[in-house]
Amino acid sequence: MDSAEKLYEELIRPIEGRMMRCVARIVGNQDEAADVFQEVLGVVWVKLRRIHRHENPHAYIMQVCLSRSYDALRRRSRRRQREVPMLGEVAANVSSDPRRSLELKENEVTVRRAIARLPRKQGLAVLLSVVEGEAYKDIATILGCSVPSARSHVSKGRARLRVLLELNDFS
Amino acid sequence: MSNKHNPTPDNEDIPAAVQDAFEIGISDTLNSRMRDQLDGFRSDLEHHSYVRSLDKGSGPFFLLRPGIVTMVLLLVLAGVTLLFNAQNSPTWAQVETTFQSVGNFNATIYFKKDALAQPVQLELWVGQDGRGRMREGKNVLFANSGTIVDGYNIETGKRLSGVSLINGMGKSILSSMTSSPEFSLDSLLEIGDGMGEMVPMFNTDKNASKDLIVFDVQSERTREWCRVWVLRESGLPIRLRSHDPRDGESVEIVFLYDSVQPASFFDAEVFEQYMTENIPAVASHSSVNGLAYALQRDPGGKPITLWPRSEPDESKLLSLTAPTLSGTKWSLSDQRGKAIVLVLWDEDSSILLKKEHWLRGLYEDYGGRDDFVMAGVALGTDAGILKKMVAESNLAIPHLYLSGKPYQHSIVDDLSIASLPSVWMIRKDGSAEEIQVLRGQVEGAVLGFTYASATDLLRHISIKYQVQTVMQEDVRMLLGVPEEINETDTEIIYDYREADKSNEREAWVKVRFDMKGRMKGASGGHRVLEPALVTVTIDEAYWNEHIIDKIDLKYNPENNRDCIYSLTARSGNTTSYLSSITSNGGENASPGIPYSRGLVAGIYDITLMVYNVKEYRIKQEIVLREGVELVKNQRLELLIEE
Repeated sequence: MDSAEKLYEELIRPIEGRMMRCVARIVGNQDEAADVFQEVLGVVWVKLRRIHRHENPHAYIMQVCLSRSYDALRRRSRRRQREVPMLGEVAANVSSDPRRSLELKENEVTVRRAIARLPRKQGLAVLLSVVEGEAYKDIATILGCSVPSARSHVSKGRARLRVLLELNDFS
Repeated sequence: MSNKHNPTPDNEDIPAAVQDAFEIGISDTLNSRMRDQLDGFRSDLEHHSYVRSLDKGSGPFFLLRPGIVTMVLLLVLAGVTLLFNAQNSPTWAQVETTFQSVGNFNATIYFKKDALAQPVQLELWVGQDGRGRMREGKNVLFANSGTIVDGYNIETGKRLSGVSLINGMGKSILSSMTSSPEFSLDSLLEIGDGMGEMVPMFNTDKNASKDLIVFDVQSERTREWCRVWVLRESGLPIRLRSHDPRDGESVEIVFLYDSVQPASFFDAEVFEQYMTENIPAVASHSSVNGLAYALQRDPGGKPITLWPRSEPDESKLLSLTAPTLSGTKWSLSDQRGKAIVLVLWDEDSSILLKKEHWLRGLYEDYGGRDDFVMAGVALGTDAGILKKMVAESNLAIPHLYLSGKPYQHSIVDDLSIASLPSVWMIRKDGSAEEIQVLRGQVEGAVLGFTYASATDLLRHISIKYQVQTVMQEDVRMLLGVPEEINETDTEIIYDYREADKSNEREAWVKVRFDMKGRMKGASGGHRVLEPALVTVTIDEAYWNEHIIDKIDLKYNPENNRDCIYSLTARSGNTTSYLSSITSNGGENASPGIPYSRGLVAGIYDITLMVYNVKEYRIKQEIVLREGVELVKNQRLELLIEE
């Protein structure tokens, strides 16, 4: 096995599914998700030497996935503040019941916009904790902070998210 | 789960609400696109410079297939929306790749702690194979593969005892820039807190120049930002600035890619050897600071330092023929067998001719000797100006005249002269060397070690010792063969002695060397050869009742703490110090103690001197005994009492 293949098997293969899911779930829109995923691969390409020498390369790559996806989410949130949510953006989320679909869509848009308004670290921590189901230890590794800090980010993020959802005011 | 239309769940419900919102699978289309992207990434990996360097083990990376590079870079940029603004400009990925592929570079780095601070300058050179060199203040540091391997202080010529002495940022930059065969701009971006992980973005606002483009990166954690200026065509970064708006702290880096330095430039051992060999030559000309650029090569072929100098061809001196400025006949070759001091000078040497007292003193003291001669060699295009300078110098020595531009004359090259004026000493055996403006050097080497020159010689050795390693051979060259050589387990001692004309005193110099023959130190002075010993004791009662009364009240210890009382022996104009009766400030007078000293035989007055240590003046002198005769090799016990 040559170095390229070995490097891919070592760095990417074990987490390629996680990478794809992370980007797809957080970004939502499939066209945008593909672009973000490409962007992630671009960053990995540029930072390859650093990633390979990193003590936890998988955490590094996941941090890139999360960070880029979250940035896309925030960008879209700002862009669409005055836009009406579009239906049918995510094929996999379409229900056979139109009313149920509409409910899900509204819920999704509301939650995404609320998360996008969280402070960056809190937003990332909530996504890691709730969406990705990561343990505090892994969240700390990915965010590059201590476990108590990770716990704090998750806790504060959830509390703030609750307030935002209660207010449901994103103007 | 509560109402989906208006999701306001309890805190505990939030995870479920969020999970619901992100409960999205990957569609087949998206999955297929992402898989394609992963495949593309994997197949391109073998062309990545880092991967290629892994295959090669180490070494710089130069060759990438252009097609693959283009494809990869386009992929990298697919998600960068500002790509369109860049138009024909290189992308950041291209800039990084271009920077990675350069064989070498050097950078000047200015660091300011805040807006008003004086900048600290660092100079960095990075070569191939992870080798680097940095000048930081008076230190020259060497790094190999990310490790600082050595450092030298060019002023002292000594190896730095610990890297902890070195500026943290300089050390960090040198280490990071040499840690990989490829150069990484990320390492430099890390100057700013949290910026090393970010991808700089093309800044359209700053896109003012046709030749330059600008990339910006903003720290995620602080307000710090970093800007990189890049040449549009080549994609090479030429300037990087990191700035902290909070206090104006900044780092400015200017890049140059002009020359490939030789391997020796990055070799600490070669530098150390070069420095050891050249410090004497450098110190004798001007400042040793030029050693900071030792072994550096200029791409345009200009000299970076004046060293290494070619070995001077001293034989050219005695064979030098030229008319004199005055028109009289005088030939240097006729002076063979004499000690010759030859001054080469030009129109800018008026200070040497008019004000250098050591040169004039040498002429006045030794000019009359048959075995000694002083002469000048005037270089210049205008003989009239040179003649006028000679007339004003009032130094009646012959001056040969070499017409033409001074530094283009062959004698300047033959003697490897760095700057004029240059004073040379030709010994009686024909050997010659350039000398510093120290009279002792001339006296020692041309006229020999003498009683009178001992102090000057000692001073000369000490000065030389401070700027270079002095070996036994150097001392022998200067002082000749020692009278005595003593060797212990740890050191070798050269003992030089020279009696004065009356044979009553001698000058002595002791030079100590370590077992490798390197000078450790020197001491010297004068001593009486056959001393007449005298011991003086002042009776305490006599001191208190008679002597104290005679001392002027002004100089009494209670009134004047700047005066000390000293016991001396005076013979004619010579006063020999025996001892101090009081310490500084006149306190703790101890007259009852016997004070001994060896003096030249003769008739002396024993006196008490009141000396002001701040004014350096004798304020009062009280004669205690007159006409005391001291006899060679005999001891006299003298009690000063009623």
